Amino acid sequence: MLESHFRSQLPMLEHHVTPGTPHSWESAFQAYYVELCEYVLRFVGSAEAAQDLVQDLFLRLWDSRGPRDATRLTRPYLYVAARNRALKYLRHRRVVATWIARAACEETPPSDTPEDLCLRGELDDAVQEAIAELPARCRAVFVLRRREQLSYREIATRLGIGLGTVKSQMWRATLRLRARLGPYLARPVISEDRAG
Amino acid sequence: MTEGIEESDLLRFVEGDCSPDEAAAIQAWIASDPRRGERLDEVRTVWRLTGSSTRQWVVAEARIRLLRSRGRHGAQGSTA
Repeated sequence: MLESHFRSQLPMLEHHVTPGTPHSWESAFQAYYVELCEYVLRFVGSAEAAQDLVQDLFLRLWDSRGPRDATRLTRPYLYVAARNRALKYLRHRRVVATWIARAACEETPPSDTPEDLCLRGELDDAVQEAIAELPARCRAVFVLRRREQLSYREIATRLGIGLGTVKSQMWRATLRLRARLGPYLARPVISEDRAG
Repeated sequence: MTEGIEESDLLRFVEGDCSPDEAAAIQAWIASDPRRGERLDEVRTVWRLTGSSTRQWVVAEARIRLLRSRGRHGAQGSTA
């Protein structure tokens, strides 16, 4: 009896969502909207376009909701569907073929494992150190943008500098961090054995 | 079409602060030189290392937009 009890619980663990209900659609939306926008943005480069594409995807899923939701409202399915939409959008807009070929190589980012989180923790110390070593104004601009999520215009007002300076300091910060973090960038963030 | 684009415009592209037309111009600019593609990857890596997301996505607004466009059905069973 105990065994059958556990067995009946298993499907629930595999699918966090109950198929065919508004709730499952809601959970998928809450869980994956942001990461799908991030993913599609890599293809299209415009947040406006990325949001529209992800919105269309969820609308389509809502309109055709039903028994197939158990497979469709899952991370792998959503990523493939989002990718196909992004590529179709690029072709429709007649974006250069070289870019489309490049975008087609975008892989589904792996979901975090405890190892990833641990590696990222180590990396994080190096990143914080690199940010701390930036020249003062450069650091101020970068932190306001990346940590406090202010717009370029808000940063210009806050620091009493021109918009052009904000942009050039952001670029400078990016190049410096890239140079400073070079040794870490060369190493894969995901451990070798998992990648292979 | 790709005139006037500078390397630092890759930032706007990575952050998504481009109109679809601007994005297409930057895509053509990147595609015309492999070194630009490498630079793009570097910018993306710095972004990935320095924050959990590229930009602030407004999930609540997106959700409301979606539910509105599909009437009341979508609003049922949701309290989040």
